[in-house]
Amino acid sequence: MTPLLEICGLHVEVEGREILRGLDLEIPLGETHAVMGPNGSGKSTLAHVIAGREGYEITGGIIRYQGEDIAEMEPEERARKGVFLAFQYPVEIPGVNNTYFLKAAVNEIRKHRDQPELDAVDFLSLMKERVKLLDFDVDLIKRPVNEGFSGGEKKRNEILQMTVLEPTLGVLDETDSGLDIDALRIVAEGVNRMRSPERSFLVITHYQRLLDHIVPDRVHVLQDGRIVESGGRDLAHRLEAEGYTRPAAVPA
Amino acid sequence: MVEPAAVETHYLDEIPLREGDRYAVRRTEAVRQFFRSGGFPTATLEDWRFSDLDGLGRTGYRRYSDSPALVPLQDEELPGWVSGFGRRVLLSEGRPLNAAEFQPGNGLDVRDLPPVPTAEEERDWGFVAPGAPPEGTEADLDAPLRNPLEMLNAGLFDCGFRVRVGQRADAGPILLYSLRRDVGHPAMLHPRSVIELAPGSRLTVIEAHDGDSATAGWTNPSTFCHLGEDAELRYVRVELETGNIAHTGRVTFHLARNARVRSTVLSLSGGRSRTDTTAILTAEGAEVDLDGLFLGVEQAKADQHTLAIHAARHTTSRQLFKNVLSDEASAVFDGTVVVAPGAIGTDATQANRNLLLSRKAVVHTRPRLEINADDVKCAHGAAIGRLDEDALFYLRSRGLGRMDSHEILVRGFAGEVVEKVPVESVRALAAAGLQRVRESRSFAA
Repeated sequence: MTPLLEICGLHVEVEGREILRGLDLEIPLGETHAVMGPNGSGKSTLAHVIAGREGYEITGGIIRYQGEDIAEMEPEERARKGVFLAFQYPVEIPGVNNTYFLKAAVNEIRKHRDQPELDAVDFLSLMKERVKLLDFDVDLIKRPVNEGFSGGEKKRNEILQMTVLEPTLGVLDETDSGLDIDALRIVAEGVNRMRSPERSFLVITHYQRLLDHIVPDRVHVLQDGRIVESGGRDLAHRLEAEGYTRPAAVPA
Repeated sequence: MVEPAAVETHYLDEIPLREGDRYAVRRTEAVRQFFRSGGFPTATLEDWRFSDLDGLGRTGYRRYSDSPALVPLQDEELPGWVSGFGRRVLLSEGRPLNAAEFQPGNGLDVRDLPPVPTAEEERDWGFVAPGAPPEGTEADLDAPLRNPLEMLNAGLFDCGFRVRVGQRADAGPILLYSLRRDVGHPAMLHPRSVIELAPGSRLTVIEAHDGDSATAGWTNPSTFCHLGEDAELRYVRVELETGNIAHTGRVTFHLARNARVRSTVLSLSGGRSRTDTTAILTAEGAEVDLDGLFLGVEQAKADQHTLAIHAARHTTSRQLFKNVLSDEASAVFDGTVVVAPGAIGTDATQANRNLLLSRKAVVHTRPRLEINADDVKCAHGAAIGRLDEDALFYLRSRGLGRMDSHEILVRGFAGEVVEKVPVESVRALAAAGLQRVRESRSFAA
């Protein structure tokens, strides 16, 4: 069966600097994979390339989603096909109401899936239900997107958006950074509730801590723009104990 | 075209003199003073540097009343938002259409400008400065009357409204709507309106200038608002004129003790405009918000000048002017806060924010503070920027299209001003302006 996400020998440059240098990664549908790595290893670049950010130039290799080459695909197209990126640094958007924004996004995606658009009443009841599950301050959804949110509130807003948009591939870019242990647990529960045979997750993190709560099927180590080691969930614990600095075992 | 030497004679001839007009001398004096003080302002004058009015002086504008057989505006020619407006008074090419039938009620009375103001009315009509500055301060309260185009209006005005709200009455919203059509010769309009709020009264007023003309046109209105103690005015000015019409308008607010003005200028015109907004805070506790929004596409040009004169202690002014510029649109913000000697406890802020959607759009911004008193709080700033790439990617990563994401951000930027407009049908005009921005050539290009 074709993996949901298939990356082969991917090279990516940002502003003329090569960040990803032949990265290989496969995520089958229904699995949750973690990518761990030190600062500067290319973790965020990987997340942005999957989501389709401009300015990340693919100079070699292949990136396929649902069997389709998405290298040239617009970010909104990817989102409509089920890719979701939970940002490491969610953007504040003054003047744009959170609920309005999310309703527009939900309906854009529903349109793509040939589902009827949600009206204001349906959408609000959906929001209320999801907000409760994430222990999210309901007043925040009436405010401008992320404006004046604390770090933890921003991260929870990302997960809230993910639960409402119901993606097929959820990419979590260092969602644990800046979260206290209670917030971390709430966020992880939000993700775990969504895990299903029809959905995959890519959890990108620096620390093993998050992976105690979102237990991955596979763990990959990213170093110098390449996956240097892959293994089961125990790999995360070993990395936590031994650090990233052991000699890279480059796969042949 | 009019020869420079003949310009003064041309405008003196345009003075609308009526039988028994005791004001005739003053009108003539106003026009003569306009020419004595330099005539049509040119770009060589600091205050008019970017205003681009050079063509005005060379065009031999005539008043509409000279137009032969002008057919009065029919109801069905009115835009929907105007015909659907509850209380409205209309001018068509400067001719009053319905003010005579206005039924006073709720303490609100609206009349046409009388052809000849009585001596008692002169101050109401804004020809005379509001009097000496309050004790303990020195402020220049005549500044708005020295605007050259104000002088010309004082000589040539021949239409307008007088709006009065009685003590403690709560009135409005009322729409003052002026529409002009192309009559085939360069035509000018000099409306003059006075809005008077008795102590403790409240009013919402929408002043709109509309029209389209292929022939050169010029609209030069003056509006004076006098607020008694504790009065509250919500003023919205909508500039909709397009085509070859130049708009040079002024609105002046005089505020007594604890009076409050919230003003919004919406520049939605496709042509050239300059608007001078002046607030004179003459007594303690007076408070004014001056907002503005320009949505510019193609070669539209809007020039916003503001002046907040803090003439008394413990007065507050807040200014927020925003420009959204696409294509080759250009904007000017020239805002001044004057704190008169002795006006301690002044609280003034001024912000000008500009969103450039095209490499060819231009903005000139000049926020100014003149502080002549101690113990005041004044802050000002200007920002010029493009749409935030991070925010665009964020929206698109949620499935929103490229164009929609741009639009959402532009609407969010404009919303800060638009949302405060209290009348839904007027907010819809801004929404239509935003739609024109979305459809402009440079949008998301």
